[in-house]
Amino acid sequence: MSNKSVPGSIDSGGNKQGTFLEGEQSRPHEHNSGSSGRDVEAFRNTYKDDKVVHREKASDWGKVHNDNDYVDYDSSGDSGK
Amino acid sequence: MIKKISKFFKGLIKKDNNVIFHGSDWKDYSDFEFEWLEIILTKNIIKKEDILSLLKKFKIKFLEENWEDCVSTEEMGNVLINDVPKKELWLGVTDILSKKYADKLNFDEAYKIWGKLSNYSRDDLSKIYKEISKNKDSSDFVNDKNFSENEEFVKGFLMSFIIEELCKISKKEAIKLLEK
Repeated sequence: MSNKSVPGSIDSGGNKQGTFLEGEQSRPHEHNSGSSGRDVEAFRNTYKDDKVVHREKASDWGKVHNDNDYVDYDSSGDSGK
Repeated sequence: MIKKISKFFKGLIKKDNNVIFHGSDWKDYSDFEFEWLEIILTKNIIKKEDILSLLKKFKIKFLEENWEDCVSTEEMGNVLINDVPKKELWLGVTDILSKKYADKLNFDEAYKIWGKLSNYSRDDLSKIYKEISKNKDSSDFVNDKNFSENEEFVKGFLMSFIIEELCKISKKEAIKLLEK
């Protein structure tokens, strides 16, 4: 959830510290409709010394399904639809 | 004529058994419902075989060869949350929990604990978390004052960590830990 983020920064040693909003895409998969593609979504990854100590879906950012030939903005977040 | 009618009814039955999913609308979830489902499906609370059974139930499969072996349970759980509507996924998950994990906290119990935790102070939450945490890095992180001047987000982190840890152990152990 958005109230659980610590402003992220990169320290003098180049290590991530705090929370970073990071986009990721799933591995390609097929649905029961026969359509296939990848989900693209955001995660809040919280780092200590470059190591993820907490990770959660950024549900307020929603998700996008990239269905091979087209992009279906099927999500609920602020950035969806 | 009979053939035509038979085909028509077969078509109806086929449609009923083959609901096509077009993705989940996350607005259907409350904050805690979403958080709890994410914990159950992506944090190794239930076994891989159970996640696989949900993917099979909703006819979702990854396209790589041997995907059942090489895709992590976290990735599988994420796709379920992304693609299966709340109603169907919720029923599938709670059904597995009640049949195979009755010794663990269910949603209502976890929600009740969440409600209690939200009234605790940051110090109380830190004490509980220290008691139950097996993840030292996380524990150090949430207690590191350089990171955590904002009371609200530290409490949010601590509550999430505590709920996640409590979901991993048995209901009896969870209640015992909270009574300490």
